[in-house]
Amino acid sequence: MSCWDTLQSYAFRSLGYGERLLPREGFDLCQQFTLIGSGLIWNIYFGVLALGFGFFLANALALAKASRSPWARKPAEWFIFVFRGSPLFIQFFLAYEALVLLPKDGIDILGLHLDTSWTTRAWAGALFVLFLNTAAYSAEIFYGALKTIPKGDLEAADAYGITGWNRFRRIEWPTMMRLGWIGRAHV
Amino acid sequence: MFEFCADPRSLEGLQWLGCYLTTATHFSFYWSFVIVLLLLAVTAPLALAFGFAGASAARSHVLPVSWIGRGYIAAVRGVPDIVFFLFFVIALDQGLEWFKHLFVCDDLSQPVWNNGEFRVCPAAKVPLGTASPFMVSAYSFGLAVTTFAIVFGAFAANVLYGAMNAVPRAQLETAEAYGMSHRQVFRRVLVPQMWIYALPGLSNLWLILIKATPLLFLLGIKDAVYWARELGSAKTSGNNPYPHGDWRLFYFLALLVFYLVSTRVSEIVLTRITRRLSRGQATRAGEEMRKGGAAA
Repeated sequence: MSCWDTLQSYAFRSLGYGERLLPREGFDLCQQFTLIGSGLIWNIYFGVLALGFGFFLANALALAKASRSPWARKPAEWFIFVFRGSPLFIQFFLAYEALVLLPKDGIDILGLHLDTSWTTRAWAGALFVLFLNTAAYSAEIFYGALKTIPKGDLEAADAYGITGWNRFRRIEWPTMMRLGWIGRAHV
Repeated sequence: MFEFCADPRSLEGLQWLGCYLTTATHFSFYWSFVIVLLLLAVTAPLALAFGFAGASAARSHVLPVSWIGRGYIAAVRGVPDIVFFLFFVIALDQGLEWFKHLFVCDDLSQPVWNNGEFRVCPAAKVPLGTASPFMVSAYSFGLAVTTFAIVFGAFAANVLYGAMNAVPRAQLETAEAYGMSHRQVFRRVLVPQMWIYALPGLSNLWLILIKATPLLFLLGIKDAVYWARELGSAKTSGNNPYPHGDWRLFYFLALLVFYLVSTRVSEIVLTRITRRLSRGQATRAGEEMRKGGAAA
């Protein structure tokens, strides 16, 4: 069996395409690389989507945690504390057990039918937990960055009369990204 | 446990719950939390020792020693934890058995690794087939501790290496000016002074270590995760004295609370240690404490 054949039969095995049965002979480097590489497709899927979606939630959480109103601050603080203070492994189990308890044949709200069967599948459940987890960690970093924006930047914004949403969009957010990005790369 | 628990089927409400939560299997569940704490108590000092050795080696003036230290740090840091957990446990186990095989077994003609199988004679098994269950679990616990110590030691080595470099050069030069040798400077000035710089990194590591303990489950140890799955799953068939539905959600909630409490308590303690270590240091926190003390 040439390496090209191996690649054809096993490259997308982890997605359910190609040969189902594992090779029974050979065990050469080509087979090992192909099979492990096939599994890595899932790593990329989870990494890209969780980080991508998590980025938006992290921004919202960081703002909420920095907010003066306790109605926004407290939930954000608790969310971040729960997801940063417990092992990811436990979060996976807990989320799975919770999702299993959803009614099997969907929920009807106001005549709208929500399907629930897909939530316990690995591609959805694991992504959901990873998304929340990475959002919590990133939010803490962005919050730290938000707190360390130089005072001069904000005073300059005041002097120019830039306030509210404009101030956030044009002054605070870019600086927050610049300060927080390195930390987020570590996560 | 209690006398009224003799016939569980006749019980109701709180009494039933009281009996249910004090069965022998539940005590195994509670014991597994003690095991987690024990693992942390043993692993943390051991990892710190590994880290200290690694950092000292990496700083050494003797090139090969320095290479070993740097190589150790780089190798472990560059690979995901979980790969190491799975790799080291198998590698240590097989290494021990292979080593023993060379000395104990009579028939060395057969290769140990044959067709993807690992085979040694019964006398070389670690632990022996006749070993008591306690020895078997002690052995797997020891393997887990060693693995955790190797992995977290590398991270600690990196932190301590940075902390040693962060100690102000002037303090070391002062010590040298007093005529201390390299060894004396290291022992009397560098090591006592480095902790305040190492603490943020070390407290991070401690929190990560706490959160890595459920990985024990992957190493096949009957830890809290194992018991939560075992006890929580639905018990309706057979003659189980305490029938109940699928309660795994509640068991994992209890686990979640346990870990949240552990991390929160650690954070509070670590903040206190940081305050204590900042006293009199040439850092911002130390300076603020000095000024605060002078004003009062």
